[in-house]
Amino acid sequence: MRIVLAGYGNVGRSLHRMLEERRRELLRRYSMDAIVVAVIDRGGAAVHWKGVPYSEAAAAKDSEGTVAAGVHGRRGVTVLDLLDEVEADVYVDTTLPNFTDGQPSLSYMERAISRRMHVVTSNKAPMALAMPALLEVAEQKGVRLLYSGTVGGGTPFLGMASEALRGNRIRAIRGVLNGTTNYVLHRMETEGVSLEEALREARRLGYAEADPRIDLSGLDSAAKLVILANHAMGSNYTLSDVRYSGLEGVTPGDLREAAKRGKALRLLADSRRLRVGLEEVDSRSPLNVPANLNSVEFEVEELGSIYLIGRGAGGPETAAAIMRDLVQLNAAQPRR
Amino acid sequence: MRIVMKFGGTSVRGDGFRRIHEIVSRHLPENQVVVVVSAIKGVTDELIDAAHRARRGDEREISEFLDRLVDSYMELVEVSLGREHLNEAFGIASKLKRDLERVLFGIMYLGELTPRSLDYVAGYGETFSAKVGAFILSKLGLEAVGLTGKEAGIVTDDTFGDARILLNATRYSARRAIEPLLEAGKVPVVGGFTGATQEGVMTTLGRGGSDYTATALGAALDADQVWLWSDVDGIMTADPRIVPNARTVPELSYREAAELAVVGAKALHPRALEPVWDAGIPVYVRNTFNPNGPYTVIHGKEEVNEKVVKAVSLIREAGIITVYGPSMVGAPGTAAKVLEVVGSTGTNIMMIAQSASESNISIAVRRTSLDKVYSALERELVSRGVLRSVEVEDDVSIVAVVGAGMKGTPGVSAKIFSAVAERGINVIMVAQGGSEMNISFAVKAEDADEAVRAVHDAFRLGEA
Repeated sequence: MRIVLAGYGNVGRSLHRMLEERRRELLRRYSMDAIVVAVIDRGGAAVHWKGVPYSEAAAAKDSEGTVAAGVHGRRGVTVLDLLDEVEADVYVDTTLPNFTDGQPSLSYMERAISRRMHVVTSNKAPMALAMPALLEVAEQKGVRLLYSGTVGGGTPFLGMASEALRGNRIRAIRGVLNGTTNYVLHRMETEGVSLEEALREARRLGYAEADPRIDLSGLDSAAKLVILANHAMGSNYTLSDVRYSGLEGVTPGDLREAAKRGKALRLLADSRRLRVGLEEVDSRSPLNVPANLNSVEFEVEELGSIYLIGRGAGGPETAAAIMRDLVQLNAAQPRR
Repeated sequence: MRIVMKFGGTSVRGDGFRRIHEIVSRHLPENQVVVVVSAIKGVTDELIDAAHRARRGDEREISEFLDRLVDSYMELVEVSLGREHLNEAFGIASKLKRDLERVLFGIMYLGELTPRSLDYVAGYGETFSAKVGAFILSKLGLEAVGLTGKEAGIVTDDTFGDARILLNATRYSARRAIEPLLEAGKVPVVGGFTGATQEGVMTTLGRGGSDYTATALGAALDADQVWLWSDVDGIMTADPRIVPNARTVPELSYREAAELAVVGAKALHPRALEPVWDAGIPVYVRNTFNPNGPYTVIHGKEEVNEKVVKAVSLIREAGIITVYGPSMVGAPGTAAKVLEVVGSTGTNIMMIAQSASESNISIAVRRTSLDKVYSALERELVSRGVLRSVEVEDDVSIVAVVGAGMKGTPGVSAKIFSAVAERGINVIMVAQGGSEMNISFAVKAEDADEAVRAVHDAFRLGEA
């Protein structure tokens, strides 16, 4: 399995390292021979048909800010150039989300699909904006589009719905899908600090994204809700179908007051009304998770509620989700 | 309200765009209107013909054809606007002509016509209609913008000549292409029948594909209604040339209309209802030449009222092949083998019937396919002893009786067949699907018109 890896931030390089370190294990356990034939970031690409060494790409990135600075590097090459030129089986997209139009990642994915490459992505923006269209085009071209890393970091919320619960009827999904805002709410509630103070802490710990507005406004949760609902229940929503609000105006007082009544305020995404907003849950509810955890309730016919809780973000975590997708692809593929 | 209006090939010719202007402007500015246009009637056939002639290498004919094509669109401009805007319009048409010319010469030099290049050429009539039509509508005072199917965001698979629209992908791209125009108060004029693959290669949607373009755009843009304007008063209870007192059917369900589209109601592309079905967007079939006349609404309500049968349709030029074989009795898989052989010839089976005795199977196909089906069955199955014999009956027509009310209403087939029998007509073959929405039967071609009239009269379809 020849892989083109786009994006060399935390997720991209964690994945690259993991694939290289676990090469023998992947071969033995899954008969999966994964070779990263190209890595690419904003500065250019590193390409080698036998596999770009992790040490080379990581060192180049650290010293000169781009993977293109290494021996196999090519400065100025774009993802589109690379997809046209390199022979590969899978395109892995770990680029950063752009919720305005999903670009440039959206056109990268389209190009990969039309070149009949499978696509694995952790970039939720193109999925939230155009998931039905992308899946339709992929199906028509006979390739797979997998996106475990777009929701819940490494916690398998999507796999829970489509694999563990396969054959059951999921009636609704509700939960905390954004770790940053949950951390902020948790700190405000337990320590009484202000929203700004809690956000500064989150940043210091590396939980918050560069632009915290995407988290705080509920947009990030809304995008994940679209993906999770479509995946679990076969709907065809896009981001514009979701009504969302975030932490605007919430104070430590509100949280404490709720706590007195045995309640907790959480930023909840709800598939039933297709909305994201602050809601009260019972303090003892599994949806009331501490720190930067995510928690999702699957309401399943005959089973009642099932909860899955885990860390919702992080480089190695998201890379682990991509790893699952790659192994799944490998299992479905005829041996070459 | 947001309305998608499609105007067919007879509605755009002559002073058609004046009528289109009248109809569209009557609904502005309170509504948003997207116009979908076909090529001038006959132009698509000429384009296909020109592509084939180009392959044979006739250079002079290409130039003559292109001049004629431009002339026919210049005529539209002249009839609608007079001579004063001819020069400007000629500029638009000449540019399109040059693009088309390049492709036709390419075909000529290579001496090769691929399905892909044929689609490129075949869809050009709609491109002309959209661009020249938008020009005319602008001069008449609408803020019209001409778009090809590709520019409008119609995304299809790559089955050239009969492409299927990818509805989700089209929803994504058509919104980006068309919504800003509508918000700015403009009228998009989209060439029907064409689209493009995800890679941007032009495709066509098959005969009558403009209906399909209109309904797909309707679904993609969350339109409130889709109006299909043609030259008949909606969908009729029967062909008025056969049954003089045929009437417009006021209402049909999607399922009934889909049945009728397949069995030959010429007003509708068989796949056209797919996009609007789930969204429940009503489709109006209306007559450009009689805009205040009767029309048909197709919607999701399945009203089983006193009209058990809604319409009678006729497919001419059919034939029946009957296969016999004693070894077929109780031998599982024979039917599958027969169908496989028929399928391998690329023939579409219109009706199929097997008696419970299993001693024979009858298949109705288009007459043009009879020979190849017959020889394939002889070659593959009779020669190997799977079948004993194959008999062919050509010169057959198929009468299709459609209506949702037939389901669960006893005595419908008795009524049909006694009406036919009373007129001394022999029924050769009968088929009814499990949906009970359609009973089809085959008769001799010479009896066909009378059989349609018999059923039409028996169910009093001519009466209000």
